[in-house]
Amino acid sequence: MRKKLAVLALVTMVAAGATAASTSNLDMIHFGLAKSIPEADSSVPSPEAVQLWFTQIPQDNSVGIRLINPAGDLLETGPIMQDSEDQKRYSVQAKNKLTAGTYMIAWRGIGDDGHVVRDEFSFTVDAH
Amino acid sequence: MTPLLDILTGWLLFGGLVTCWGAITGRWLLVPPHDIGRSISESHAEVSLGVAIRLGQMGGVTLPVALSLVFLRQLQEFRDPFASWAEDAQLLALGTNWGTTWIFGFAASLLVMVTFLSLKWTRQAGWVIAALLTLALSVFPGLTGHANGTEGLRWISIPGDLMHVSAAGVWIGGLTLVLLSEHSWRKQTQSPDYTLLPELVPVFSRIALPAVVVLLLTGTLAAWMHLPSLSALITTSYGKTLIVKLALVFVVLLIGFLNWRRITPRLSDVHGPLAMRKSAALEILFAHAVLLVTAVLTRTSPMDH
Repeated sequence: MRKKLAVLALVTMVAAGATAASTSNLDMIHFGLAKSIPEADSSVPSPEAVQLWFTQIPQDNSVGIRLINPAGDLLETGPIMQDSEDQKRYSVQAKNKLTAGTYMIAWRGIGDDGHVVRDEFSFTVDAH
Repeated sequence: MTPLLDILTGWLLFGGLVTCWGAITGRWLLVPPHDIGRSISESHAEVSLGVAIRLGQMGGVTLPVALSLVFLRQLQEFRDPFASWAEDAQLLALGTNWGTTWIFGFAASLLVMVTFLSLKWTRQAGWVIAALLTLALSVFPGLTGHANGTEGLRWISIPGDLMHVSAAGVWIGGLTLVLLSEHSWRKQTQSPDYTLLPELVPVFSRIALPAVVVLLLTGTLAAWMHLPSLSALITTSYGKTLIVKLALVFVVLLIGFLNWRRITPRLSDVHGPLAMRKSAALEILFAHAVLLVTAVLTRTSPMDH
């Protein structure tokens, strides 16, 4: 009886492995930033909002987006919004028009695998 | 948190789980209730199950500490320098899926601790609860780790991870229990020649063998799911760490194989028990090195170069 159970367990595991192997969706996509508006290192007119697209849907409430001015101070923004149609897209509205200078966007989020990923990038607001 | 403390946190978590599994293995597989008074003497059972309780208590106390450190580690990474610690801690614990899983894990770890601390070896119900809680807690690494990142394959990656952790616990925890029982027995009988090993080791071998098969199968499955390609074994930090783990696993398997095929048949010889004690201690030492490397692996992204 024990041997039969052991063989059954082994066959089940091998079958599960084979099924998994035949599944096409095998690429493990690690959580990170896919793109942004404004783009990193770009020069743009004062943006109304900062928009981030992640490589996977972040865990609920894990996303933080901070807009930091050239002096290193935190700028006031609206609440963090998740796009209801594209759940990988998050944005914050800038409360005021940005003056010319180099700004920093610092972001963080938690992926499916529980890893906290954080990074920052800068963009420049044109004088015009 | 320093990288060393970061890794030690993971090792404490895995070590705590393995230790609890050692106690469970002792109670249900090495000294099963129906064998006491038949193939296992009452005095042997009393010693081994006493050790199993102490082992469970050690693991039970370790787990809430490890889970607390896991939370602090996550909070430190989650920190927003423009928000307060309390605000971030609340958001992490109560607002995210990770936090929800952690709360359940922490509650389970407290229950495991309380159950083992209040356990008597004759109380079967307590052991059933301890086994179920340990099993439930063993899913925590999978739910908060890479196994949960395999989109579309969680139905196999998470049970696979649970089986991997449990099998490691049965093997290494079980072997730890065998050695500690032997130590306790020799101390109690005050006779260096009196050994439990000829009785315990053959039973343990029958348990360890399927555990090793499950470990290898689930480990291979996990590696295959997490590595983006075979070349990632040498091009990514994850792959390189995995190679180190595999090398250590090979050493543990080799020692285990030698214990099984070479030393076990000599246990009734004069020097057999001593050779087994030394060799099994070495196997446990290397197994904990595997747990340390696993702690590194769980903190490494499979994609980062």
